Amino acid sequence: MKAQKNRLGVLGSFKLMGANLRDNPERVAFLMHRITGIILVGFIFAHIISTNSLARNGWEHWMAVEVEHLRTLNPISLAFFIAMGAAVFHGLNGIRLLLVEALALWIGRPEKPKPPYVAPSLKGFQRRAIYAVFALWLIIWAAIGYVMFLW
Amino acid sequence: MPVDLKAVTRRPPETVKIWVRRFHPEKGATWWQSYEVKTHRGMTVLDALLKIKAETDHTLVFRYSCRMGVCGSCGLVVNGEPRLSCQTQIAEKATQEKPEIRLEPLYNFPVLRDLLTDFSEFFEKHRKVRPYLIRLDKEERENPKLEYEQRPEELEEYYEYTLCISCGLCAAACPVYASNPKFLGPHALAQAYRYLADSRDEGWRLRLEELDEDGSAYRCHFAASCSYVCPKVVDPAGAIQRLRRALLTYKFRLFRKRTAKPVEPMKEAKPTVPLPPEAEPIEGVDLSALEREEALIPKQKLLED
Amino acid sequence: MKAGTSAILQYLTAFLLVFLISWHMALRFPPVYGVESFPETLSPEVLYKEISTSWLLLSLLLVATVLHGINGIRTMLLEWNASDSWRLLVNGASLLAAVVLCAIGIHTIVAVVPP
Repeated sequence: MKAQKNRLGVLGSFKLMGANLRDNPERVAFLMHRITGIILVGFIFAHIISTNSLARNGWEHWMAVEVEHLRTLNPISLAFFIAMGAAVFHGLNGIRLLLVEALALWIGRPEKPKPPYVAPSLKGFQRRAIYAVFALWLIIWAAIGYVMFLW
Repeated sequence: MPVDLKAVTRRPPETVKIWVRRFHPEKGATWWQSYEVKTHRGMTVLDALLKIKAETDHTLVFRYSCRMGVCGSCGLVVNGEPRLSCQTQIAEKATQEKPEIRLEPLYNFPVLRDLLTDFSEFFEKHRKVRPYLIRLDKEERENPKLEYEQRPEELEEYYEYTLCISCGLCAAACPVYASNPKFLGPHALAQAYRYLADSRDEGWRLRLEELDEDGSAYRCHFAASCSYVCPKVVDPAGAIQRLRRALLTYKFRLFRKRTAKPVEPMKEAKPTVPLPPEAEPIEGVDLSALEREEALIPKQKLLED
Repeated sequence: MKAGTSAILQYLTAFLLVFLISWHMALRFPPVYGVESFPETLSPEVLYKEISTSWLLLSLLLVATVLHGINGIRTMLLEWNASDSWRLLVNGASLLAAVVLCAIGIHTIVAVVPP
């Protein structure tokens, strides 16, 4: 007789996204923080290596190849734009997480349960901060898009 | 968890199709089986399972005990969300348009059979965080004389976390528990904080040294699903953040805690408070006889030996 | 590295990066240098002036970013598998990647020539 393993693994994070977006946006923020983090590490690799061409190939190559890509809308500038969005979200949510995780602020005080039975940490200021993070993220990202492509 | 309080007053669909993810350990087979259940107003998922067991299929295995959300043994995944089956109304999950409910065993727990899951790892992790009061004075620990003094605000600091019924829903919902077998889990960490925050506990140094390891509060990333699914509003997510703050402040040698002492024994017997003059005895009750009656806790016991 | 030390490293670098990356991104805003468009802020004169004056901030940004990023990925990878060999592999690869990336970045700052 053998028990069946039932651990969801990494993909378990994606369960019930619809309900989570409404009732548990912390989980959506958690998942997006991870995904943007992975995107950013990839971007940092590319960014450090591509800016190194300054030292290796000189300014002419820099202007002709690296900067030229950012002048128009193409896959590379689009990837750059996505990385910028990831950076903005990771940063804004990171500020919230620094306060919540490292300093345990914004999560309310322990209290005796009373109707409608919502945990204090879900009612705390961090919940409003999440909505602010999402709103600010979209605004700043749109502004970056304007500066990059339409200025 | 936001419970639909109106659901109990609604009439669920006449018949509901209940899909159960079943597992047979000897055959090693997993399959989805459906049952048609005639419903009634106020029927819970557990009621439906009991009805199936009594009328349709007696081989269906699940765990339950109190049927009223106190014991915490009937945790299931209902439509992808960890719930206590006794606290989930059929009318809350099945609608007239889609009279279907999908039941699965709790995620992240080994399945023994059908909906029955194995909690040994879960309780092992609970045991690891020393869920009991630690006192440094051995004599007082072995032969306690009187209770510890505690202020109401100190009780409030941890009271919420004492309501935990160890149902395992938090572990089933936690995305980190799902991927990291070493993670102690929301339940164990919330209990660790419950004893750390208790002013009667003197073992904070030991607790914080032991919890400063991989798999402890540092692995929590505040997805807060545990607090969301908790049927007793224990708020494990909040407890873990406070535990992490304690761990970080301890690392910088800034952690401070006031620990309570046992109350001082009374020096002398105080006079009994007399009844107010306007008090009128109930007919047939002799007040002076009541005052002469021995108290439930003898005064001598409260006095110093 | 103990879990607590790694967490403190992560929080401290995060705190630094909030300011450093805001600064780094704000410098690409055209009016800062009074130029026409975003790619103009990447022209040789502007960039050389920026690197030669604030090389210290740039290298701090580089080190903090690499430590924060690699440490974050390392924690995620260690969640997958608890075996010791995996642990050793991930830790070794993270250290190597961090050193290589820092070296490449420092090389960019040091070896850049005036336009």
